[in-house]
Amino acid sequence: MQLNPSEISDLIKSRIENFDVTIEANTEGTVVSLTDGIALIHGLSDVMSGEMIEFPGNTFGMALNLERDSVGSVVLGDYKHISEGDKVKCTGRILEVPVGESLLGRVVDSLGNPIDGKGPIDAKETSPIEKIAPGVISRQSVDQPVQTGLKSVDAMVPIGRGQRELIIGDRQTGKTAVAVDAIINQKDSGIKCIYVAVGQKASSIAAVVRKLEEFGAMDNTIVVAAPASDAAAMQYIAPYSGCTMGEYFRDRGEDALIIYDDLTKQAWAYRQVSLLLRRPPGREAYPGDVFYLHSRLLERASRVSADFVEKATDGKVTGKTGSLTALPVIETQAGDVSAFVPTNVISITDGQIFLETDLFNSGIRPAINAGLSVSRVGGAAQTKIIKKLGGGIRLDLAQYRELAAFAQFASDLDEATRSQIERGQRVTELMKQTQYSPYSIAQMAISLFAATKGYLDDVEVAKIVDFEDALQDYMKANHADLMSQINESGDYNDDIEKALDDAVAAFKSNSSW
Amino acid sequence: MAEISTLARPYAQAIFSLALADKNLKAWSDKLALLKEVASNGSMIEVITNPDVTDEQVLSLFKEICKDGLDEQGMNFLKLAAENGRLEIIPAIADAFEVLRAEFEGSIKAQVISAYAVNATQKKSIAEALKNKLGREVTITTKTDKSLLGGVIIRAGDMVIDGSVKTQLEKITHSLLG
Repeated sequence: MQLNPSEISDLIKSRIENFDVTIEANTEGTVVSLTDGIALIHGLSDVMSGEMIEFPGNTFGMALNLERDSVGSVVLGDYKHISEGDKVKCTGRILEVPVGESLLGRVVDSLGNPIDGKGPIDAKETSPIEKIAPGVISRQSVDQPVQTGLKSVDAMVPIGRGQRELIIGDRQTGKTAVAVDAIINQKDSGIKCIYVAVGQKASSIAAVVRKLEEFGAMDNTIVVAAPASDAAAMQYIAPYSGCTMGEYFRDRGEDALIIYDDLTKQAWAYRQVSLLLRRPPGREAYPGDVFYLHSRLLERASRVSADFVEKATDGKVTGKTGSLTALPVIETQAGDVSAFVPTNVISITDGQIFLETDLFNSGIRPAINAGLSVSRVGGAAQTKIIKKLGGGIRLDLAQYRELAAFAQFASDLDEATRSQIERGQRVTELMKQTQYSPYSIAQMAISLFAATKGYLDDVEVAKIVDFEDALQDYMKANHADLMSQINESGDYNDDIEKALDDAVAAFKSNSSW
Repeated sequence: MAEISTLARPYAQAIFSLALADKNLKAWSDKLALLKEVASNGSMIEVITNPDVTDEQVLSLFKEICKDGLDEQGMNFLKLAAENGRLEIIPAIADAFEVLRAEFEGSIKAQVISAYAVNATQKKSIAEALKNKLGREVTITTKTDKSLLGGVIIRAGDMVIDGSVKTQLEKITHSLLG
């Protein structure tokens, strides 16, 4: 469909006519020095902390250092066209980004500008990126689950709506894979997702976007991209921008999930900005407030009460609680979780999913270390059936780990020890999952049921994966109504238990794998 | 490396409180303006920064140039500045003093830059409007700049009101380009 040439000129004409000619009084300043993206400005007597400053060439900056006679600001973007002596103006607005449903399905930069080539974003509202987190009274405890679709996560370290769960591990251990799988599983759950990519390769971000599009998850996801080529200031504010976009949904009684991939690179970017602003360096050369950098970001991910939502929407939405779940990612060096930034973020979040290189290399993927991973919300955020059936899994794996050293002498051990080891091996095999294949609640329930009730004990360890696949196919083909019943209600009672018992027994006796 | 304005501030404040006590703000303004003129001169700066030239020589040079414009107090100030090695920032001290004086007297200097010359009535109405906005007496200096294409830019201290056609066109360009 071609656009008529006259339509184009009509469009431009109407835009010019409707252009709002406002003349404001601004405070002005002069750039005195400009180095590495930090501009030192004289004047600007009325500037506020964190205010957007307008540089020539439609570039913006953020005022970070307010000193008696000068203002230190970071330039948000390219600074080659700015020179010493240029005049800069205050805008009177604290740094803000567009928010709203129109951002869903789009890839934007840290300031909310679209970078996916799909045209401008029609956002009706903007919101400041720095906000105070909800107070104690406004919050509600977490009791609804976020189904990530990963067996090991949902069974052993369940995540609830409004929780912060840290994904921590070395490089190439599958941290982003866990996050992306979680997003893909929210396709139909009504949870809006935001993926904030900080300091990554642009090609990696493109690959993630492609995968989300492939699985149809992009329609309810916002991608905030601050790749490694972006200025450090943009990488520093990207998580806050994403959080503001997520808070929009939280404050209207909806649920949202935000993934910060990863906060280590944001801490590096903040360190760079702080050192250039001549703020004194502390441990590992990070500035003194690197804890506050992450704590104020992660505290904004919470579940809020219906009263809060009602007040925030001026009474338009009543009786619904809102939530923003955060999955921050931290990359450790050589498994060192006792370094500065990892310990900071571990102490802030409500639990961690710990991914290990050794497990990854030995074929256990997702490479979750069940012993060190924990979810402080735990069972309160699990559906009833998963809670009942998954409770034994952690215990089995814990006991197995204790005896793992003896697994090599399996033939010389007593019955009880041997059966624990064998059970542990089978459960470990069962927890493996391929990428991009999330499990529904019913599918997870089947697998966990088979493990907990001992149906796996006589299957060879090497054939567990095949057994599980065949079992899932069998259940899908022959017991689809039972599966959908479990999916809808999440209940677990004697009837369901009996139905599952019969089904699995029938499968074992009749089928092969 | 401290900011020049930070270095100039204590001097300006001291002179201001002295001038206030003696009720001769105008006299001090004139003295400082004269000193600023002299101290900003290229050859003077060379003399001041030359390590071979002694303080007495610089001071006597100042005295000779300023002649009657400098009284005993002015000379004392100059001696103090020379002692602390602050002769170079005398222009900044003069500027800071003017700011303090303007604050005290409730007056402000505004610069009006327009594309076409501003006539007397326009000037008066601008002064009135600025007085209402800033709550101070405004003295207006005008300048013409054809590149504005139309409208005016008004600068008063740090505040700028940009009503020029040039800036509006720039804004439209940026909004159309997206």
